[in-house]
Amino acid sequence: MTVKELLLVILSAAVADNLVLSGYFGFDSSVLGANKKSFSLCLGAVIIVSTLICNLLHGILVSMGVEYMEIMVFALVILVVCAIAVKLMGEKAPSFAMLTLNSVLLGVALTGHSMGLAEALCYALGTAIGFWVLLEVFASLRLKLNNPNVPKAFKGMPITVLAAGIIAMAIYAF
Amino acid sequence: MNEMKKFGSAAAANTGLLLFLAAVPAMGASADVGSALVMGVCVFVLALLTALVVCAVRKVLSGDAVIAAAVIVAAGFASLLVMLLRAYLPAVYPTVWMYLAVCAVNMMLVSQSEQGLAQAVRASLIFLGAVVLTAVIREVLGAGSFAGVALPFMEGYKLSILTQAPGGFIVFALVMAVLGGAKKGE
Amino acid sequence: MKNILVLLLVAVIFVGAMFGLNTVTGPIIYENEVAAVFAPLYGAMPDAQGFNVVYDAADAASYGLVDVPETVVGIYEETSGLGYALKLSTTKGYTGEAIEFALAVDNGGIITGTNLTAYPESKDFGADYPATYIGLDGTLTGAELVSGVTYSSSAFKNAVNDAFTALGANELVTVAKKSDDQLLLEQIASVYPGIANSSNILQYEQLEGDGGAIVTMFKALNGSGLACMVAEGDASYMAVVNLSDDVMVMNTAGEIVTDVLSAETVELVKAAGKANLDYTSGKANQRFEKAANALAGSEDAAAVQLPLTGVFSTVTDAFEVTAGGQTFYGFVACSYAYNNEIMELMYLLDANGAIADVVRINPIIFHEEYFSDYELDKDSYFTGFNGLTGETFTGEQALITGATMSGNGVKSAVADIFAAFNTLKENGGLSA
Repeated sequence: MTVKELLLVILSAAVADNLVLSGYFGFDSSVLGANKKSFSLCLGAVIIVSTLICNLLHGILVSMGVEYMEIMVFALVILVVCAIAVKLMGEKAPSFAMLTLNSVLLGVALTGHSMGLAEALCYALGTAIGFWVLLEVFASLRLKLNNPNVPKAFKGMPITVLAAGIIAMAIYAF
Repeated sequence: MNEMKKFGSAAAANTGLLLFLAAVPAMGASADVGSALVMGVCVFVLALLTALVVCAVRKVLSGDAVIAAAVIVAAGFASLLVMLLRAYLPAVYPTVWMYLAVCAVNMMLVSQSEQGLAQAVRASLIFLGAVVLTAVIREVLGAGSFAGVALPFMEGYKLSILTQAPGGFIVFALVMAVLGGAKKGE
Repeated sequence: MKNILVLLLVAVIFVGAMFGLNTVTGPIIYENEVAAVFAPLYGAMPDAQGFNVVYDAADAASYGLVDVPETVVGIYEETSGLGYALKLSTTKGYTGEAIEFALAVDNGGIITGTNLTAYPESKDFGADYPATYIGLDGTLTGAELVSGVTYSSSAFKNAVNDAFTALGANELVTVAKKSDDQLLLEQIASVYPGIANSSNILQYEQLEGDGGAIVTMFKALNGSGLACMVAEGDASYMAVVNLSDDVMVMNTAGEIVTDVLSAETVELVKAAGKANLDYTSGKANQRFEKAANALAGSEDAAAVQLPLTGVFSTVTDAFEVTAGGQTFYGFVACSYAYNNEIMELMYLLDANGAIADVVRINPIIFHEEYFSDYELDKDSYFTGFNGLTGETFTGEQALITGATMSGNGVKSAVADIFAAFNTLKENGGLSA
């Protein structure tokens, strides 16, 4: 793929086809973990690393004819990568649960499994960037949503999801 | 890990938190009633089987290995379900399979909870209810049909955004509010 | 240690289960995917029992077919002898994305069904349009384009044409041959671009022949020439006569040929041209003289009409203008612009073929009161052409934001003017 096409992949993965806003992936922990600064960076790195590994493994699995095993293999790979990341980051590490549970990881791995390596890398990069931007947005959003005027039933999670839906509408225009 | 256990128990007990965790697959599979039903049933089966096996395995394992086991079991059952879907329900497969996989990862969390099987069943039934409800609203109001059958009286009143990504968020938020509020009222 | 063993055991059990399940579901999945490939074909040929792949564009070499155009994605033979089904993907329609559809053709070369699978265009040519092709044979006589959606419908028609090319070249079905008349008319625009607009759609008025050698006549709506379909012996040709009585002959293969028509036939064609072509450029010579005077700072400009030998385009008139010792060349072109209405342009070139002045474009924008979305600063637009030569003109300089048709009209006319200048220069028509 040409450089131009790769750049387009990054851009569309970050904005237009953002996995969170158009595929709902990564929504849960992105909101919950929005508070920690290190979360987005760590997650971004984990996305890229795990996607690359999964992409390579997919090729191997397909050539062995056992493509159906990929969910399990990917999940284990993600688990391992997250564990390593947490160990590496030591003090500043976000909680392990936050990291592993993030459906973005599986989402990106599964969506990018049949792409070429360069394309998958760019896709992961784009998703990581888009996700990071989104985390910043959600972080400031949560502060605003602590407003006492929010109806009781909506307090906490529902209102955040609703707000995310409105943001998704903005992206939907793409 | 203790943290995961706490989280798991909290999720199993608290409907709101549970729905939040289940948000991704719920929103993803709720574009139409057919997929939602399939998804709900799959999740139920998944939760049941995972909880059963993990409970059994947990007795033999210690510490962090339980998590790894949970991942293997959940992902394994999810893979089996995905294969069945792909063969017997190819119409639903393309939209649902990734969300089922994601569900597996989240399911691992629920299976961590102390209360085990009963909680898993309860959690997945709540999920089923939530996802089908979301799907009904999205499909009837968004596409003017119910499980693929077009509804004549909805013609001209369709809000097509409901079947798209933003609609999913919004409707699910409403469902969460309703269900969460209902539980609190209990 | 025990942990790892247990984990491994669990993993192995699951892998085994997946493997086992795969033996059951694998074949079913494979069949589903195969069915998905064939599904659109059943839409075009509902009575089909099954299909065999005869050609797949993804793996073209291994099927050994010849002459398969790019638009043909796949050719499938129906197993019970009902004929062939093809999957086609048109070249860019209006939006730039392909229209995809399936076409069913029986062994006699008649279209029996169509099935539209992907339609990304912004304007709909109607769900019934593909069905109008049912019953047509390889010549596609009677296939009409939808007015207002011409890009898309002509892309569709071309793709169907390509399907027959592929079927015919490989003798899969008997393809009806196109008549000579059809071939001539289809290819006329390649040698005589003055008869087609910028989307290659012919703009003509059809006239009766003289009962003799001239079978039919097609008068270009911009008045630039008359295309006469003539029969000479057993063969048919298209003889085009322009406003300077120059005649060009094209055969059914689309090639320009010389010395195939008898002298009498050529005279007949010229006479027909004189009788039917009534275009004049009005006061063009006076306008050119005035412009030349302004450029040369003189008052003695004189315009002499030049014969358009070898020029068969939208160019309708040419003048050599001498003013103050300098030589200029004035060209008049009539191109098809918005809604195929005629736009008349007058450009003055200097002795080297560079644009010296844009004397007149009438009208540039059509129906101004309806159509206000465009951006045009007339002065800078006009002066923007000055100095351009055949080499430096890319076409971009003619475009007008928000008025594509008009911009295209200017673009093709200017291109034709440069080409005419070169043609005349080559065959000695210019004195400089």
